[in-house]
Amino acid sequence: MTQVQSTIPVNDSSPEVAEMLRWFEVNRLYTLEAQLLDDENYEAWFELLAEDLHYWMPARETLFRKDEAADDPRRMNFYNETSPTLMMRVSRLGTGTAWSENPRTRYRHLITNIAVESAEQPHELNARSNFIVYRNRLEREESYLVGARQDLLRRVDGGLKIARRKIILDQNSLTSKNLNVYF
Amino acid sequence: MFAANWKFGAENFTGDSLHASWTHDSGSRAMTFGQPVPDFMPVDPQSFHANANGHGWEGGLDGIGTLGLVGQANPEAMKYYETKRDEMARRLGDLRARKIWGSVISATVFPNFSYLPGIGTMRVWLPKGPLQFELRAFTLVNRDMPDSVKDTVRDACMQTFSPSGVMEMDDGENWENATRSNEGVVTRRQKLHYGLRVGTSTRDDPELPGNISKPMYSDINQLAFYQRWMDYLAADSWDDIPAQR
Repeated sequence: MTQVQSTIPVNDSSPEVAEMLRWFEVNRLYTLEAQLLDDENYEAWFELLAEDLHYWMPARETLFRKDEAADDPRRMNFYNETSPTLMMRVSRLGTGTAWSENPRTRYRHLITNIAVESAEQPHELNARSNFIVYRNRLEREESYLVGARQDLLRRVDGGLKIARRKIILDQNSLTSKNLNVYF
Repeated sequence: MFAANWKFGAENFTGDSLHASWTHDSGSRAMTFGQPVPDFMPVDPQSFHANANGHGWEGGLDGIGTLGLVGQANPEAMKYYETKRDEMARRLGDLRARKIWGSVISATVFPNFSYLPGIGTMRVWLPKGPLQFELRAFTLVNRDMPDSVKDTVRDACMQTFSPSGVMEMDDGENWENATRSNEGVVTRRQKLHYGLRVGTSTRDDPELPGNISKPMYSDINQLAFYQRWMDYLAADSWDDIPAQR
């Protein structure tokens, strides 16, 4: 049965309080991350990413239901990155000749519907969230990107780092001209 | 989707060698840890434009400019390519196998199919009205490539020539802004200048078929593309289209 339990924590050591604290911590991580991405503060963003990061955004296919198959990074992707390749991409910005970024894009990341669950490893969490990413550039270029993220978060040195991220974009043909943006 | 006229994409791939060092500076530096696109001066005198019936090919003869992007990500890819070169040389000769293949090359099959032979991507510019086109991009891998090389080629195309690609992102600015700036009334009264090195090409190159001009920095292919387009637009019937241009 699908339902949301109504719980009122009775004391600090209750599992409900532990769950709330866990959700609060992930919510804080995502709020900070959204702010860093809006501000193009990629150096600080990289500090939130684990060294063995897999950052993956598969291309979406339109198929009959009977032909649907699990996403596979060996098919076409928008992103299929590790930490070094993400840093390679971002290093473009420092050259002064990244024309799709100059004048700058106005980004806004809205992160919602956050759900957190235990993962296989005790120091890791599975987290899901939805996003709306708004981009506006030059006089009136606009795009909305809407989708979901599935993360594996890992506790490293007391803080949470993003170790795996799968980004599910709710578009088949990309309706905007590029993806100069991270999710 | 691009808010641009599809012909700017086709034109770009048929002959625009000059845009690379300016447009792709940031992408090139990112991909090669700081190296810019080699500047167009000094010019490689053997690099060439080739066109026939509106189709066009432009590229160099260094044999490595594009393959290198894949090879630096995976040394196994470079090994695979070198075995292919020998096979290719037996079939097509040294010029094509050792000098042309692997260089920075782009080409358009008239009117709206383009490809980058070294890195293995092909694309169709699909018109969606005068101010919009959809770009359908494919990555090609050889059946006999080791899996790790297939993966590298797929990811290299994604990282360079795709919506998230560090090269193509900046091309999109050119295509859209060229379309925007040509919408104005005053601009439309003027003729665009497609004259660079026009008149210097030859159909009698000893090694290469078609209409050849060297070096590759010219408007010759672009002009030929639009002349062929005009052949089609101006003809009253299919029979009136010249068989060759």
